[in-house]
Amino acid sequence: MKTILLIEDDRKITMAIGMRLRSMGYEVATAADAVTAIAQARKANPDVIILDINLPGGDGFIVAERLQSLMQTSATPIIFITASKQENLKIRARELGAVAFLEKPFDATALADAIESALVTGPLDAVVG
Amino acid sequence: MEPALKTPTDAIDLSATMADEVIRVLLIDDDPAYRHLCQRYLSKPDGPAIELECAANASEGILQCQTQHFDCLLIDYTLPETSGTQMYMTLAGMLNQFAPPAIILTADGGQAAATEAVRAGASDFIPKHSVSAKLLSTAILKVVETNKLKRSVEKRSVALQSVNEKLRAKNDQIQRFYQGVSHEVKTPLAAAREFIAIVVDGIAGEVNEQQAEVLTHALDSCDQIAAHFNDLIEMTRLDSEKVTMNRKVGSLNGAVLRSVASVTSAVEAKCITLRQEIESPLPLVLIDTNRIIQVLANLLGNAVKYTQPGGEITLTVKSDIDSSSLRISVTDTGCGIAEENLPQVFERLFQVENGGDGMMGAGLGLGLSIAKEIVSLHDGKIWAESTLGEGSTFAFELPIAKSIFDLAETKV
Repeated sequence: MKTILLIEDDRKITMAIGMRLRSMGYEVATAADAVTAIAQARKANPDVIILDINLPGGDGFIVAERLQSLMQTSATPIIFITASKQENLKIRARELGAVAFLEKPFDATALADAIESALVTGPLDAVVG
Repeated sequence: MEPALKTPTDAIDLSATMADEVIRVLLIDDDPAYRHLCQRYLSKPDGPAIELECAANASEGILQCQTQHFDCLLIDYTLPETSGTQMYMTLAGMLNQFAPPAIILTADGGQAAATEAVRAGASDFIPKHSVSAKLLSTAILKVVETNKLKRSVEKRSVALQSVNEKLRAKNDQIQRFYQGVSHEVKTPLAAAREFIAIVVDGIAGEVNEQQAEVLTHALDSCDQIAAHFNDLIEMTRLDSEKVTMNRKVGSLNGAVLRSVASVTSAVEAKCITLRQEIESPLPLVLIDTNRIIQVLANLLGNAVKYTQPGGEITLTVKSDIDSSSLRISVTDTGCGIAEENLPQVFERLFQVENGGDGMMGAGLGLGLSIAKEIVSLHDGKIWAESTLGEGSTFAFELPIAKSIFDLAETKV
C-alpha cells in the first residue's frame, strides 16, 4: 500500500483530505507543523508528500527543502496545496520540483490526478502546470 | 579649484520673493569693457530692477555663486581658464538644483557654441555683440520667470510623487488585506467542500439520490464562494497595475474552444442551444490567450446563467468591414437588461436586480468589470446591448494583428 504524508496545519482539512485519501486506498500519515513533518517523513517513509504552503514554524517551501535534504524523502514527489492566491507561490513550487500545485478548495479528481501522476512520473521530470 | 563652502539652500526660497523685487544677476566675463557695458545696460532707470554683480573669471564666478544668491547668470562663452559652458556644468555639478539659470553669451554666429550652451543646461544664449539694453533685460526676465515656474512645477511634482507613493503603499496594503481575508475564508471552505464531497461520493455511507443532488448544490455554492474571492483578488491586482498581459500573436480558435468547453455541461444541463458562428479562417490577434478565455468564459457563463432552460445562445466571431478588429459577441435569449442599467453592467458588483420575468439576478459580481479591464489591456473595447425580456448581447473587439509591427508591441 502506498503511503501519503499529509502536512497541513488546519485540522479539519487534514481530517477531510485524510478521509478522502484512505477511501482511495492510501495509507495516510499526518503532520501539522514543520518539526513534526520532518519526524513523520523519517518514520513513515512516504511515497508522496502533500504539503501546505502556509505552516506554523516555517513555510512549506522551507519544509520541502528540508525534506529534499533527508535521505528517505530526497526524491519523494511533492504536491503543494494552498489557499493563497499569491502569484509567486506557483513559481517557487515549480522551482522546487513539485509535481502539482493545488489551490484550495480543490476537488477529489484534481487530487487523485495529482497523486497518480506523482506516483508515475516521480519528482524529477515532472512539471507543475 | 576649492569648491567647499556652503550650498545656498536657503537661497531657493528667497528666489520667489526676490525676483519680484530686485533680480540679482552675476556676469562672468574677463573683458572689463564688456562688463561695464552690461552694467550700463542693466542700470537703465526705466528698465526692470536688476542688480548686477561681476566676476572676471570662472573660479571667481563659482565662488560668488557659492556664497551669494543669484537669480540668473550671464556667462561669457570664452573665459580665460575654461569655456563658459564648462564652467556652468561644473557649477551645476556642485549646486545641483540650486544652480541659478544661465544665459551664455556666445560669439556672433557661433552656432556650435549655442548648441553647446543648450546641452550644458543653459536656459538661453545671446550673441554677445548684438546685445542691447532691452534684449539683455528681456532675456534675463524671461529666464528668471521660467526658472521660477520650473521650480514650482518641480516642487509640485515632488509632492505628487510622495502622494503617489503613499497611495501605492495603501493599495499594496489593501491587496495584502484581501489576500489575507481570502486565505482565511478559503481554508475552512476547502474543508467544508471536501466534507460535503466525501458524503456525496458515498465515502461516509450510502446517500440517496435526493441527498446527493442537494449536496451537489452545496458543492457548487462552495465553488462560487471561492470564485468570488478569486475575482476579488484579481480585481485588486488589476487595480494595482501589477497585472501584465502576456500577449502573443495567434488565433482565437483555442480560446473559443476552451471557453465553450467551460460552459458545455451547464449548457447541456439547461437544454440550451449554443450556436457558434465563427469566421474561418480567423485573422490573427495579439492576445494573452488565458486572459481572453477568462473574458469569453465569463460572457458565456453569464449568458448561460441568465438564459432560461430551452433558450438559445449565439457566439459570433467575425472581423469588421475594414479588417481592423475582430468582434466576439455572445447573444442570449435571457431576461435582458433594462436600458438604464446597461451603462453600469461593467461596474463592480453590479447586479440585475430583477429580470423581466421576475427572476432575481444571481449577480454579475466582479466578472464583467474584470473582463472590461482585460479587454482594455488588449487595446480593445467591450459593451452590451439588450432588450428587456428578449435577451442581451455582450460583445468585445480586439485589434487584428496586421503587420510585423504589432509583434514589436507584445510588451504591454
